Amino acid sequence: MSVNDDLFLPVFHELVRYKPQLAAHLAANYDEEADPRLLAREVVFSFPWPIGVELRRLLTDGVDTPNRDRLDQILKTIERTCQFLAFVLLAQLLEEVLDRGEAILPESFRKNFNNYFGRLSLGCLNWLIQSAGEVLSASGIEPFVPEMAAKLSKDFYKRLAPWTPIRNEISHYLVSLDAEQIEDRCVEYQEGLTDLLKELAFLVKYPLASVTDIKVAKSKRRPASYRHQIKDLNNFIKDEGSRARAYEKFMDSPAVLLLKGFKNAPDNYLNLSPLIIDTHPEIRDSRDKGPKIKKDIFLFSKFENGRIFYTGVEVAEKKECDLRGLSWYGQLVEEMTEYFTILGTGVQS
Amino acid sequence: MTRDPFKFLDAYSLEDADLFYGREREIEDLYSNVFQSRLLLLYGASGTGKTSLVQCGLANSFHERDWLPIHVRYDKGLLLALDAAIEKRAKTRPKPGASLSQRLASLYLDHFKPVQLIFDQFEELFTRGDEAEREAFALAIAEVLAPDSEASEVRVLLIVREEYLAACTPMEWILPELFANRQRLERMGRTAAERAIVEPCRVCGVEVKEELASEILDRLGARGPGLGGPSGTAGIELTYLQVVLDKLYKRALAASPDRPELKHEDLDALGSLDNILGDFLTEQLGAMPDAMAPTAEAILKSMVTTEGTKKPMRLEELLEELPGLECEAERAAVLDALGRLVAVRILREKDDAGGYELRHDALAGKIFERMSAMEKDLLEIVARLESRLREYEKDGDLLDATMLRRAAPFAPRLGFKPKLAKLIEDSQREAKKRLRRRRMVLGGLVALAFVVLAGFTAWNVRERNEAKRQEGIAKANETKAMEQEARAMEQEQKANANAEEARAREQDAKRSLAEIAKIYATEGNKARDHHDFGSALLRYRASLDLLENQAARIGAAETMTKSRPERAVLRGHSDSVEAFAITPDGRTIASISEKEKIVHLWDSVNGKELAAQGCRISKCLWLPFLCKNDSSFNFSVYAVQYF
Repeated sequence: MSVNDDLFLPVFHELVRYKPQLAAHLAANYDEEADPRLLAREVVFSFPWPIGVELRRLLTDGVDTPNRDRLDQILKTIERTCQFLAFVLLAQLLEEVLDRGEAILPESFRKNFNNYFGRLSLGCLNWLIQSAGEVLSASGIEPFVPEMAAKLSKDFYKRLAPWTPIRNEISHYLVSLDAEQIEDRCVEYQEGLTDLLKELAFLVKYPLASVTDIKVAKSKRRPASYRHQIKDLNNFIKDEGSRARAYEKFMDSPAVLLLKGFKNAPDNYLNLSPLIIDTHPEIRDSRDKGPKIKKDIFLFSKFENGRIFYTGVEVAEKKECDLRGLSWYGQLVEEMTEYFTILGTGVQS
Repeated sequence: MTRDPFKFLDAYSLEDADLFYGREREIEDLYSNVFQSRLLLLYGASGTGKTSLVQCGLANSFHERDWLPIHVRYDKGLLLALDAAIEKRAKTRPKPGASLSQRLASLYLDHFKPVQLIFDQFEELFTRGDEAEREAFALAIAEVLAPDSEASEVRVLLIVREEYLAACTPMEWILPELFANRQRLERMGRTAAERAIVEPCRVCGVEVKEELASEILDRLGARGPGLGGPSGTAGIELTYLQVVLDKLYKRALAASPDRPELKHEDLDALGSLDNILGDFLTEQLGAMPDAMAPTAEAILKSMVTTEGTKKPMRLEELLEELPGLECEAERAAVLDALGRLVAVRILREKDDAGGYELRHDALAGKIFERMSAMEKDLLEIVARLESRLREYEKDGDLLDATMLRRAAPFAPRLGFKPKLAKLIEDSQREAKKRLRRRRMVLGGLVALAFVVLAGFTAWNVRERNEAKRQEGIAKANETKAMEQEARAMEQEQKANANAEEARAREQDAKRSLAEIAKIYATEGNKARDHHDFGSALLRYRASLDLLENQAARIGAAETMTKSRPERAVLRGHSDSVEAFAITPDGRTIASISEKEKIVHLWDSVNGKELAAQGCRISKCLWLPFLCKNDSSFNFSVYAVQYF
């Protein structure tokens, strides 16, 4: 039994509660044990892709034994999970404030927002999760993901809080851990990650989708239909053509959305743009337009001097990616400015 | 001692990231293109550094956790090489009969890294494989790239020399996206090439004299084949540049091992750079001991394809092939030569299985130029025979007569390859068998034709004889018929004569009867004249009985008139009788009453009615039957009236 089995098997069993069809992998052959690799794969593909990619990396060669790389990867997975949670809560909060007015925002939140949101770290993310969660709870607003309501509690925030100092300690260049310490911490942090993933297993119920294009179909004497090209980023299979779905209403495009299901999706979705974006729809047909934009899912990382920097989920970049060449980059900047303006104190010139 | 800043004829690898300069933009593009779709085609001319771009540039763009490169080179077949490469990296044994997609999916689960299949020197599928293999390969890749494939985490990168791009086109039927995502690697531009010279030297602590880089590029571009891509685009052929730089570095190192410096003087000392690679080859072979050089040259020649590209060879294959190049070197001598060629960096050890190959296709081109026409022909025939050998091993198809004819002049030099020799031997044996069979069939056909002809002749003769016999019979029959005809005619004549005679006799008889009747009539006349009317009538009657006799009838009538015999009373009519008639023989009398509409018939002799009651008639008729001519009728009527 590999070290990953202790992480992925319990999480898999928890996922089955929310996605019962996964149980088929357990019952595939009664006379054989389920292939733990397949169960791990399902965990990877069931979580929203930004989290799934980090989970996949935990399974790769060199990271599948307790060592420094694994330790870093565990913490990175935790950070990525927090980042996703924070983005979901912030995206909802922005919509709620726009709907209900700024009165629901405490002044302390507005004052500190720019500091925490402008340059994201694990500590900032935890602050954002807690603060946004508290605003929603205080205002009696049900989170977009209803199961999250139970998590937006002091206990949950308490469980998240220690990860920041741990992360800071581990990533500090002066801190040197010996092999035994690393192994111990790997076991300890892995348990923490396992618990966190089990707690957030309900996420697998909510499709993370990328709407890459919308086309209007209007026939004579018939209502208009909106054909959405949608990629499912939970079961994200690279290069699989996006699937066309027709709705009577339209959603946002290009945008990464959190849905409550594909049926009647336009009635209930949360647009995560510009916090999470998908560059797959970008068509770069000429060199004159600058270097090619890598096709990936990107997570907002920092906003500096009017520029948004992103971190690719899969593409390896030494620094944050500069996506200024993206054709809808201007729109992303506008949307980002809106966050700072509505939830914070505005963009510093 | 400083680190070597140049790679000579080797490709840059993952570890050479700090030495690999001049291709930053291409690396960026390649890295982006890898994410564009699951199939990417990288193409460019030979010597543009495609392999380095992938093995160093692309490899270093990926985090090791996000990339599982599987390098595949053609060996005994491309799919076989792929199988071997997968097996080498697999941790879990796949289920028996697992498809390529399933094995790749399992490989992904073993490593949890997106799998990148890299088919370097993809043109070998065209230079060494056949059409069936190409189709099988395209089908296998199409299966892997299908949207519902189990190997969804697998990408494919094909690296091919651009002159083979057109050859890829037929595969587009199976892989429609083959050309959709592609990148052409162009020859390195001057600015980038200067960086490729200067920057590695800086990293390795090698000094480069000012303007030297520019001068090297000038000299390569001015006279050497390095300038001008296939489409006329200016650019540097990196192979030549690397050879020049290596020579300069070696000289610099010899001059100052601690602080080597690339100098103008050393560049001048190299002389012409026109054929720098060819010169390098000649120089290295010339530096070998006399006994080794021919073996080394033969080894090099055996490692070139008919297209002038490199061909990997294993020691055992070399030992087989060398005698064909008139090199009878022993195993140890071949090993020595191989070692030397590796040491002077002409060859590289390809894999752990004892495989060797030329360090670059450009070298293969130079070796190809050194080959004689006979050697090139031999190379071609060997390549063709090897292709046919694969077909033979797969389907059992032997060489046809054309191929055997082509191979015949080279047969003495092909004995070194047991499999080829066996193929030729089997094919020749089969050809002989076929010839024998054909001859036998032909002989059989001739014999059959002869038998048929003989049979036909015999039948003809028999038929002829039969015809003759029939003719004889016919003639005899004809004679007989003629005789019979003659006889018949004779008999007919006889019959005619008899008939004539009979007629004459009949005439005579008639004449006799007439005579007798005449006599009776005459006697009747005599009796009448003597008023013996009874006798006269009897005589007349007798005469009439014998013959219709006018004279007798007249006589009888006259007699009856004269004799006035007792009248008979014919009783039967109740009204008046309009007419009488008498039959020509005079025996029957008819009486007709028009009013009664009745005819009564009477016996003229005794006067008795022949039919009681008479015969009713619708109207009165004269009785024409009594006599045909009026006179006899009138006479008869007259006679009856009297009667």
